[in-house]
Amino acid sequence: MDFDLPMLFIQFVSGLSRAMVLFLMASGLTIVFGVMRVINFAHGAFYMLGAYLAFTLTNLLGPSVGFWVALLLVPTLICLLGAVVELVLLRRIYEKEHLLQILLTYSLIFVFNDAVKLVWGGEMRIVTLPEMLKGFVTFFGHRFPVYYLFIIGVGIAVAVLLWLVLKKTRFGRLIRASAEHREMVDLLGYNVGALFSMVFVMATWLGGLAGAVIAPTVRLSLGMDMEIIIECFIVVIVGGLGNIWGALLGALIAGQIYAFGILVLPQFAMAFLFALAALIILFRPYGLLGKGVQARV
Amino acid sequence: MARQVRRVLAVGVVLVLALVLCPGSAMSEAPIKIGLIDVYSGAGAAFGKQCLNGWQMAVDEFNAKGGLKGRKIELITRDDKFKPDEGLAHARELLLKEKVDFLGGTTNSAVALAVGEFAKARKKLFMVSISRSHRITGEKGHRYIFRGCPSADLECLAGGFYASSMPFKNYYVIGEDYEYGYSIAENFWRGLTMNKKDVAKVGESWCKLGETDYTSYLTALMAKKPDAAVLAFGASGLIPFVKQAKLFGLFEKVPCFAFGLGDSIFVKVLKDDMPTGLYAGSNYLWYYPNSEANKAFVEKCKKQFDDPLPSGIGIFGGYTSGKFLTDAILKAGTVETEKVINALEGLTIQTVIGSIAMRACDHQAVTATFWGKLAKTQEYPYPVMTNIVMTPADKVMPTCEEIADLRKKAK
Repeated sequence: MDFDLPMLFIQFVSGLSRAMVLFLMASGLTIVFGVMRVINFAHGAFYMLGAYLAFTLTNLLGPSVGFWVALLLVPTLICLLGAVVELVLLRRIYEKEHLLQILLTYSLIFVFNDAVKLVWGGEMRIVTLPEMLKGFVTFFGHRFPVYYLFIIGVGIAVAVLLWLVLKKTRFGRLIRASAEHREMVDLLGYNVGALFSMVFVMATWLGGLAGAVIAPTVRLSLGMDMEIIIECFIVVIVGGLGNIWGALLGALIAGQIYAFGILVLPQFAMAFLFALAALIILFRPYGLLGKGVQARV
Repeated sequence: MARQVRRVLAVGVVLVLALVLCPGSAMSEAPIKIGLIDVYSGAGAAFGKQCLNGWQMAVDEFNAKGGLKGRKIELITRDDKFKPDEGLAHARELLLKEKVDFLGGTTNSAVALAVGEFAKARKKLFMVSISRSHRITGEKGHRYIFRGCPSADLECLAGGFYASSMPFKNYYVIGEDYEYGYSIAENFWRGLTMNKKDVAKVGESWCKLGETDYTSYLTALMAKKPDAAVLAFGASGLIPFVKQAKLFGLFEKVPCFAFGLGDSIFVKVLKDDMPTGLYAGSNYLWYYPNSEANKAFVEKCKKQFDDPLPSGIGIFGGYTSGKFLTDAILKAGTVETEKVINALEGLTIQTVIGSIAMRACDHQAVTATFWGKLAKTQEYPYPVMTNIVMTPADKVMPTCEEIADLRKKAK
C-alpha cells in the first residue's frame, strides 16, 4: 500500500471528526458516572430524542434557520427533560443497589423509544443541513466536508467549555471533589442533591447537543441510540470511567484507530478498538486516566 | 299429542341437520391464514410496512374474486425487529398457535435463512418477499422456500452487466459488513467481469452495520482515486452513506453504482438530499414504463395506502410475492402445502411491468431490473433515473445447472 503524507493527514482529520462525535456523547456519559456513580444507559436515548427534535425544528423553520435554532434550543429542551428525569426518577435510587440503577436507566431507553415512535413514527427521517455547511474544502488535493470541520470545532468548543467549568467555577470544583471524595463533600455540608441534579442536567445537555450536531449526518430511526452508544461505552472505559479528560483521550484514540485501521485492514477497523478495550481492561482496569486503587489481593 | 311429536321431530331434524352441515360450512369459510414475519419497527420498518401493503393488495384481489371456494385469506403479522432469533420464534408461534397455512415476509436475509430452515423442517411453504441474499434461493434453497421478489443476484448481476458497458477499469468496493452487503458486491462483480475482462479491484472496505460515521471510509476511498465505486449497502445504511458521501462531493468525482437507490424510498426519505450523478437500479419504477397499467397501479397505491410513490422493494415485492402465492392457491384448488408448491413451480403472474415467472428449479421469480443514471429532469421535482436500461433476468440469472451445483457443494 502506498501512503502519501496528504492522505495520512486527511485520514487523521477524519479520525479527529469521529473522535469529536464520540467525545460529545461520551463526555455526558462519563461525567454522570464520575459524580453520581450511575451508569446511564439512557444517555443514548437523550441523544436520539435530541436528533428527532432537531428534525422537527429544521422541518418547521427550514434548514437555513432551523439548524441553528436546533443547535441552541435542542440541548436546552433535552436538559430540561433531564432535570425532570433526575428529580422524579433517579433521585429515588441513589441509595439503592447498582442493579436497580441499571434497570431504571435501561428501561428509560424503551420508554424514550416508544415515545419517539408515538410522536415521529417508525419511518426513517433525515435532517437537512443549511446550504452554508454543505460543501467541502480541499486539503492538498483531498476533499473534506465543511460540516465535519464544524463538528470538530463544536467538539473543541465543548472541551474548552468543560475545562472552564471544571477548573474555574465552584460547581466545577464540587464536581471534581465529589468525583474523588464524595463523602467528604457530603460531610462538609454541601448539598449533594443539588449537585447531582446539576450534573445530570449538564450531561443531558451534552447528549442533546450531540443529537442536534450528529443528526444531519445520519438517518434518524428508532434504535439509532444503540448504534453509537456501544462505541461510546468503549471510549469511556478506555479513558477511565468518570473522567472527562479520559473520555476525550479515549475518543481521540478510538477515532484514530478507526481512521488508520481502515487504511491498513478495513475489515478489522472495529476489531482493533475492541482489542484495545480488552487490553485496557486487562492491564489498567480503571482506564487510561481513571483513578482508583488497583485492587491487588 | 301427535302434533307435539311431529314438532319435536321437526326440531330434532333441524338440529341434526345443523350439526351435520355447520362444521362443514364453517370449515369452508374459515380463513386461509398467511403469517407474515417482517420488520415493522426500527430502521427497516419503512420496507416491512410497504411490503405488507403489497401483500394486502394481492390478498384483496384474491378475496374480491371470492377466494378459494369462499375461503378468504387473512394476513397475520409479526415483528421480527430485524433479528433472526425473533423471526424464528415468531415462525414457531405462528405455526403452533395461529396454525397458519403459509409463511411469508422478512426483510433481513439472515431472518429469511433462519425461517427458511424452519419451514423446511416443518414442511411449510415460506414465501420471501423482500430479502435479497442470493443464498436464499441459491445454495440454501430447498423445496419449501420461494422468493417472489428479485434476488441480489439478478439485480446486481444486471448492475454489473450495465457497468460493463462503461469504460471504467479500476473499481473500489465499499459495503456493509453483513450478508446482503457481500451478496451485492459479489454479484455485481460477477456480472461485471463476465462481460468485461480488463477490470480490477483497487480496494475494498466493509463498514459495520449501523455505522454512524463514514468519513474515514470516504477519505480512504477517495484517496485511492478509483475510476468507479460499487456501493454494497442495504437501504438503512445507504441513506447515511449517500448523505455523507454527498458532503464529500464523491459522486461528481467518482462514478458510483448503487443498486436500490432507484427505489422510491430514497426519494421519500432523502428529498432535497437525493443525490444525482450516481448509477442506480431498481426492480420497479413508478415512472417507467410510462404505461396506462403502471399509472393505474400507482393511482391505486395512492388511493388505498396514501402512497403516491410505490416502492419496488416494498409494495411491488410484496404484491408480486402475494400474487404468486394467491394464484398458486387458486391453481392448486387447495391450501395443501405440497400441492401449492407444485402449482407455484413454473407459475407465471401478470404485473404492470410484464409477466413474471417463478422458476421451477430454484423457486426464484424471474424479474427484470432497471438501471439508469440519476439526474434532475423537467417532469419530476426529485431526481429520477434517466437513459433507463432494462435487463430481463433470464439474461443474467445463474442457470438451473449452476444452482444445482451450488446446492450440491453446500451439502
